[in-house]
Amino acid sequence: MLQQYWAEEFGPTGTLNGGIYADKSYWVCTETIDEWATQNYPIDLTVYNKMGGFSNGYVPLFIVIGFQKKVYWASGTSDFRAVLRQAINDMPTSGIYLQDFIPTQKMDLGSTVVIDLDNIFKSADGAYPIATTIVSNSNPSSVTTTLNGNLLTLKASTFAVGNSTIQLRGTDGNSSTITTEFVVSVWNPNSPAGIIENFEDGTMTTPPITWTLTTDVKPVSNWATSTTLPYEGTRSAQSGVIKEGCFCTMTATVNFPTVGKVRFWVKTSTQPTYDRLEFYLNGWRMQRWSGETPWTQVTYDITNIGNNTIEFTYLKYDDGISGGSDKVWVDYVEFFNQSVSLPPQLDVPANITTSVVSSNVYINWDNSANATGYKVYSSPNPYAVKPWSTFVNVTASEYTYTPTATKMFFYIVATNGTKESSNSIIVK
Amino acid sequence: MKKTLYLMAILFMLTSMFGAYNIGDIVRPVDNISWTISGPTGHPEVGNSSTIFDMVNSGKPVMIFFGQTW
Repeated sequence: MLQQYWAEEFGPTGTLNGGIYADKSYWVCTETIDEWATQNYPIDLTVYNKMGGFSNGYVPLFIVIGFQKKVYWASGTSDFRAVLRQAINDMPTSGIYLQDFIPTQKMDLGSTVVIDLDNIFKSADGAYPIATTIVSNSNPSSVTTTLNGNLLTLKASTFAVGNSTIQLRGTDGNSSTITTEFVVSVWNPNSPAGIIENFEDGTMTTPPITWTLTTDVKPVSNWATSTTLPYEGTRSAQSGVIKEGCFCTMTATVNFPTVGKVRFWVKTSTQPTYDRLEFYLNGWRMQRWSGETPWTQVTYDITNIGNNTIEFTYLKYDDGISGGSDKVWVDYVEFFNQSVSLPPQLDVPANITTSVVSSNVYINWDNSANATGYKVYSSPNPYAVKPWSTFVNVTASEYTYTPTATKMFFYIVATNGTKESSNSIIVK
Repeated sequence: MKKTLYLMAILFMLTSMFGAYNIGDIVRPVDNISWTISGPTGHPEVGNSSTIFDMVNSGKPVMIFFGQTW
């Protein structure tokens, strides 16, 4: 068995390479796949597929994690020993080395972050203590740095957003040195939204976000806009009709000139646990939902400057069981970054009231922040395709309608000259 | 002491399991699987707990089988 091979090479009775890997390796064995499944742990299909899947009843799923927590693994069934040997050989045997990296730091204006450098610099031959120094800070107007022992304190400016690259140097007791650097991005938490994808244009493949749609369902049934229970406006993105063991995915690549955020709403109606909506950020699965999930808003930080890939996948476990509506939805996807200065978002006109006085219909609503006017759309048919052809422009949050028909329906849109809000609810 | 264990069972797995990793990727903290060793009575390692990051930080690559014996 696979474990036995490993033990023969690296274990206490191993003879290969003269046992030079003694005390350098560690292994963990799960139970069998069958036992695993009976305990209701769904197999991670992403890992499973990458590892080649089943072959003659043998399941070569394994992962090797080595130096700097890097992943090593083999795609087949024959070279797992070489993979582990590589992971061991990559470990430094002398001098100072980087045990870990410092990830990009996203900081709000005026905030402070303290980073413990204890696990960043390490000595392979025990030449401690290690002295750490700050080599450079490319943008001290946005962030200042102070070092106290192994604690690095970053203090963001109260007004200057921007990026800074911080370079650090570690020196061990034998004067061996190594440097590392990381990015600090100071962000204004009140900055406006950059891009909003609300699917109101009825397509998945036109701006503001051009989605790439993939599926293994035949005939193809993929994500599409839908008027079924949108969170906002009249449309959302709805998963396709997919078969057991299949998936459909919508993927978009968005450029972030600075760090930022992605925020969106999700809803699911599926078989609990097994049929699920999964959200990936740059290939990492960040979260998943299944069963009956009401509209839920989720926010993730974008720490990678440049192109970022976001992906929504509806995945059905191959057990012949479906649940709920067997669909998932995504709506109102927002992308924020600190440098975008588009007009502020306009609130949808809310709290609309109607009253009839002397045969006139008076319509009132709350002021929308940043609005300079409103469009009041009207139609005798509430099911007519939007936008309705008849509307009037008003500057105040009120409108008086003199009836020309026995029934009339209205919805309202806030405007500021360059941008319009989403549609309000329809009132009669 | 060589660290080969005859039987280990993961008693606690993070619910996220492993996401998509490519060779050279850094394991995310959310995937820092922890475990407690089970095995033959009297084995010195039985009952010990650890995590991926603890092992790597102590200088050991970790090999995890999500597999089936044959």
